[in-house]
Amino acid sequence: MTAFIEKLKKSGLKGRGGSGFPTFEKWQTVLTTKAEQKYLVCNGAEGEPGVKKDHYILANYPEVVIEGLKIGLETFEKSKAIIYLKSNYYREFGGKLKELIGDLPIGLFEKKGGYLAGEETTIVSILEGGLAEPKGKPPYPCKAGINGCPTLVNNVETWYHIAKIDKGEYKKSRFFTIGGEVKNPGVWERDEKYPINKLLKETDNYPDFDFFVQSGGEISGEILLPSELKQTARGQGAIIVYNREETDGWELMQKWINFFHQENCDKCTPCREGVYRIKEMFDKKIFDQKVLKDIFYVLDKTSFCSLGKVVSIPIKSFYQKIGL
Amino acid sequence: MTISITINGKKYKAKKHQSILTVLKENKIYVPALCYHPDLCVKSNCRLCVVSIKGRDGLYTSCSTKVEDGMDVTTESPEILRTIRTNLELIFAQHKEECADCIYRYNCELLKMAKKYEININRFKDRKNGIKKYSLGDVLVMDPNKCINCGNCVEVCHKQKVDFWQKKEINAK
Repeated sequence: MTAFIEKLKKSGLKGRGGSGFPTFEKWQTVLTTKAEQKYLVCNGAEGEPGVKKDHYILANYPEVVIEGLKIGLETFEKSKAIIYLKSNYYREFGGKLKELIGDLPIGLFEKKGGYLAGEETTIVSILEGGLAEPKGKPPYPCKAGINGCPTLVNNVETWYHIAKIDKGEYKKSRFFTIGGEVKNPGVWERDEKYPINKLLKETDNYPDFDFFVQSGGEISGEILLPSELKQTARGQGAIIVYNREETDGWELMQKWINFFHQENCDKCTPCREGVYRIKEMFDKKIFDQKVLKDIFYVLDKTSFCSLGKVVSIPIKSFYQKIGL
Repeated sequence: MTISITINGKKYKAKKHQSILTVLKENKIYVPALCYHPDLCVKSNCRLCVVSIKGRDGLYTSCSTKVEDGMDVTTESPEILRTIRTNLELIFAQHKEECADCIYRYNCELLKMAKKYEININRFKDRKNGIKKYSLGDVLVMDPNKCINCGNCVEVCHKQKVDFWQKKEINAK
């Protein structure tokens, strides 16, 4: 273990892309896997609606992200880095990033594909020139990623914190996005365990109407009631506020399921067919509880990748807590 | 290297790097595996060959999971049965049944599974119906209404350097 990876381990940093995997473990695997070429990917796909933290970081601290990548390049011999950005981020920040990169071995790549194209094995497939479709794990990308080479995929925010850890400035913080029906939408950096209610109050966003919150992202996030807001935001740290009286439950659930239906890659049975059947039910506004439970069951248990596994989270929590 | 694994409470020998499905097949233990083909890549698309592994959460597709020494695998449980039945019903939902006219009537893997797992093959209305058929000469007809999206034909077509069937990028933006 290098001195920096030791620091990374002590920091307790977990990936900020949503899955919360310990960052040092990925780094250690890439370090110990022998290869002629290693790749570092800065994932700026930010495909979950309602999440704007990577945009905020790229707009305000692009130099810190590049510093993080520099540390990666110094840590891993024979390594190259790729900044993988969704199209509008590529257009908005590409020029500035190129300036900061100078002659470092860092390339820019404009993301192809939709929501799934931010998932790490799908990124590997796209960077290899393949389809926007997830790959089976294992092997994990950090062991065998792009063309079989060890590939470290970390989120933009993770690279930002890596630079902070190196300088001794990391204070276990993360970036929260606040959106929805609030006065003051935006992105705030706070302690990683910061309670949702405290953050809403501090930022002058705590509603004066009856509301509920979606925690994590505008599609895959879990629905929380005002009494549940002592916890911190999950997933990618987005907090979306809804007006309980004015929100049409059917419309909201249709929005989620249409998104999952449009964005799934059609690879595995539960996601391709199951999501289609749920969409069919929502379109007709007729619920068959038994069918819905069976489909959620196979989505949770047997989906190929994480997209299918999150389909039930917003729908189940909305139905249980808010109802129709 | 030979290793030892337990399947449904019985000990079996296996080779390191084998998939659980290969070991199950070698020992004639049945699990449904629709998209698996010994000559093709493991895709684990159909999600039928699921098993549970002691000490690990969730279910695993046996085609894509390698055996490990001391692994304790279960192929039959209410949880596994429920999963197979629902996924099989979903697969049938995209396949237009015209069994009476089908040359595979007596040798249809799907129908065999439907019988074994006592599923309702019409639980869902057929999703595919009226999609254009492709006639490739007099001997080969491709009917997408019957396709269960296993992806095997696309792979074979590519491996034969024909590339006539290709997967479409549905979300390209």
